[in-house]
This record gives sequence, structure tokens and C-alpha cells, in this order.
Amino acid sequence: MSKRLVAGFILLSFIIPFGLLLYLSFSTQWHYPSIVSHPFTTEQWAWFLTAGSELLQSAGLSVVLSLSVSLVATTGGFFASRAIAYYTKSRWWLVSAYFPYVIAPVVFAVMLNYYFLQLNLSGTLPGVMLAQLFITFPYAVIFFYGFWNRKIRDLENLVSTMGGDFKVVVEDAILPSAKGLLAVCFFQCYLISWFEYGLTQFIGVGKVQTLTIMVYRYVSEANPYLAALAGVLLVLPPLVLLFVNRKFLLQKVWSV
Amino acid sequence: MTKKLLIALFVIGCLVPLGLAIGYSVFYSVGLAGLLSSGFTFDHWITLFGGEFLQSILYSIWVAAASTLLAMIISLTLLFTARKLFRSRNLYRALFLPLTIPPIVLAFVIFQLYSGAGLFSRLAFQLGFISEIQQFPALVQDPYAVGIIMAHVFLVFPFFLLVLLNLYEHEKLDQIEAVASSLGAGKRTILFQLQLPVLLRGMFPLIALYFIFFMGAYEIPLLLGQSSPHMISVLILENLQRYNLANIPVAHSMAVWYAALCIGTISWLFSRYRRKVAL
Repeated sequence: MSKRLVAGFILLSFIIPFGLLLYLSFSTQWHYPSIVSHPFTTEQWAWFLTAGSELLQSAGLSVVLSLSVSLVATTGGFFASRAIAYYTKSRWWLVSAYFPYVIAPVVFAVMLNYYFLQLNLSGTLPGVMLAQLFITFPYAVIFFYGFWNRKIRDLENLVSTMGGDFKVVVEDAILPSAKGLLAVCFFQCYLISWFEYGLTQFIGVGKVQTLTIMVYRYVSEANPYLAALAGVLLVLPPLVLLFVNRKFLLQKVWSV
Repeated sequence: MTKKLLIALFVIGCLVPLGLAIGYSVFYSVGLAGLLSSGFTFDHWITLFGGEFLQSILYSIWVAAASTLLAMIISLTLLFTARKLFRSRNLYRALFLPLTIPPIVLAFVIFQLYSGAGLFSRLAFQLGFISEIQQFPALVQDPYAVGIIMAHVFLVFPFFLLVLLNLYEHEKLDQIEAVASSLGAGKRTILFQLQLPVLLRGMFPLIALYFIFFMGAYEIPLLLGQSSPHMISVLILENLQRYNLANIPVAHSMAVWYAALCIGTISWLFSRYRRKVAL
């Protein structure tokens, strides 16, 4: 009985935040001390789906930004990690990939901002993309490092011995073995970019209005209903990923 | 040639930005760069240790330590008391749910749940525990960072539990328990001298990593933190965005010290744990 209670409590504590977000996104008034205030309305959702609404534009921008960042980070990180695993001896090469990853992104942005200003990248979408790559790329390198083991190396050598050049090695030996991991890394980089707020706000100077920026903006404007709607939009893709395959959300990153 | 290009890609994508970032901040903090630079000086570094920086570091350490410790206690308690529950596929899967919430959204939700006008205050009112909004205890934007800690714990304890469940199985701790028990060891001995040391050793790098992450947290303290003292990331940003330009070198000094702390901790972790770690 008590174990069922524990299970129920855990489930409830996880479900309440989602329920509250959803509730607020369908509400326009939540007066104290009512727990549920009527009327429920689809007003915000209808506005969101209107062509040209700022939240729809913001959602589109976030998708484009996260897809681009994760594509570049996954591809770059995949091959860079191969070079680090095969051609370097000191483990500090890998350890150094952790450095940009553990510093708070917003502090990293503060330290890098001068260069973005000099290159006129501050407040631009390419600037934010580049800044997010500085976090996601090292993550991808760390992620893939453990993939380059003896088995993969033997497979590569086999294809090479049979006359395959690097392109053939990649197509016939590496990619078939790495397909699943590439997908996982792609989605994890997507989520890092999708969830990112501090760095995006600082480098984007509020001009690159991703969904996380909109949440904070609506909170600052004391509009919890639109903030909740933006929150629901932010939570949806990871929830879908969880439904499709939970590995997309959590994969043990190999280490040295 | 390809080898060199790929290593260059790593250097350009990872090490160069880091070097440039730290380099600029170091120069700014010692008066060698920036609009108001007046030549080499350690004044900004010295200022750090007499003001809000130390307070902020202590506050950040408190938040990080309390969050990590609470998350560990909750996940260990669940592991040892309700492990079998998580054999249910649905409950195990539910542990992944908090991972789908971005920190900024979680901070917003925690505010809507625990603030004076939040859901739990309304529940307390409806149940007759309080008769006006002011009677509800300050759980967000409070001096002890209760709101921030709750948000951190909510985000991380399911993840810790997932790792602990895997570790428990991987280290065959139930079999160790059976063997120790048959040799006459009591429950407390098995727990404190066999199982906990194995789990804590396996979890230590992860705990250290999350301690650093929590210390540098930005979005959650921004919404749920009080106006003073600030968490370190919020303080750095605030110093940078104040109207007084003289605060900018101070902000860079703080950033340098904070980055050094992160890099130092990670380097120490890797030097200490040469074998595979559960990061």
C-alpha cells in the first residue's frame, strides 16, 4: 500500500507541472484563491496558430536554429572525435572538450561577447548559432569518443585493405555502425540548443527570439498564460522524443 | 592531411573559443583590455574578495550543495525502499519526464506552484490552512533559495535515480547483499559498509559535475532567486549590465575565477578517476 502511495506521489509530482502548464495555456484568468478559474479558452492557441503570430515565428526560428546547430555539431563532433580517439595520445585532448561544456553557457557568452561584437555577429541568428555550437560541438565530441573502439577500427582497416578509400570506409564501415548513435547525438544536441536561454539571450541581445526567450519575455510582462503556451511548445518535442525512444533524452556519455 | 584537418577542427571548434574567451576576460580583469582600461592592475581582483562576490560564491555553494545532497538523499531513499516499483515499465519511463522540461519553463512552473498566489497556496486556502495570501510561507525568491533548490532537485533526482538503478544492477548489489547476509552481516552493515560505498564511488563524478552545473545555474535563479545575494552567473550578468561601466572589469574577474573553478574541478576529477566514470 505504502509503495503504491510512493509511486502515486512520484507520478503526481511529475504530472502536476505539465498539467499546470497546459491549464494556464487554455486560460486567461486565474484569480486567487480559486484553484480552477473559468472560462477555458482556446484564444491563445488560436492566436498562436494565426499566420504571422510572434510565437509561431519564434517556434519556427527555434526549430531552424536547433536543427542547424545539432546537424553541424553532430557531423563535426563525429569526425573530430574520430581524430581525437585515433591520432592523439594524451587523454587531455578529450578532457579539454569538457571545459566549454561545464562552464555556465551564459558566463561563456559573457567572455566571448567581445569577439561577436567585433565580427558583427551579436544580435544575429548566425551569431547565436555559432555560440550554441561552442557548447554542442564539444558535447558531440565527448559523446562519440567511446564509439571509436577496436572493433570499429578493425572494420575500417578491413574495408581499406580491400581497396576502399576514406569515402567508402565512411559509407560502408562507419555509418552503418554509427547510425543509431548519430540519431541519439543529433537529438541530444537539438535539445541542448532547444533548451538554451542564457547564452541565446546574451549573444542574441533579445533580437533572436527563440521560444525560451519568449517564455522569459512573457513572464516579465506578467502574462503567465502566454508564458505557459510557449512553455507547452517547448516541452512538446522532448515529450515526443521520449515517446519515440527514451534514449534520445538520456544516453550515458562515454568517458576515458 | 585529413588527420590534421580533423584535429584542427577540434581545436578551432573547442579550444580556440575557450582560449579566446578566457584570454579576453583575463586581460579585461587586469586592466589590459576594455573601454576604461588604465594599464595593468590587480585592483579588480582584490575588489572581488571584499564584496558581493564572496557572498555570491557562498550562496551558490549552498544552493549547489543542498540541491545535490537532497537529490542524492531522495534517489538513494527511493532506491533502497522502493526499487522494485521501478520494474514497472511505466514508472521507470516516468522518471524521464523531468528531463523534458527546459530550466526556464521549470522555473516558471515552480513559481506558479509555490509562490504566494501559486497552486499550493490556493490549496492551503481552500483547505483552511491559511486565511490570506500573506500567511503562505515564502518558498520562492526567498533568502534560503528554497524555490531554486526545489527546481534543481525536481530536475535531477529522477536522473540520479536512473543512474543508481543501473549502477545497482551493474554492480550486482542484490547478490552481494545475499552473500553478505548468508555470512551473517546485518542490514545496517550491508547498507553502510557494502552497498553505499560502491554506489557513492560510482556516482561521485556525476555528483561533482552536477555540483558545478548547479553553481553556475542561470535561468532558475533568475526567476526564483532573491535580489541579493545572487547566484554567481546572475551576479556576473548583473555587473555587466549595470549602468556603471566600472563594474565590467569586476564582472570579467568573476567570470575568470568561476571558469578557473570549473576547469580546475573537471581536471581534478579526470586526474583522480583514470578509469571509466559514469558521466
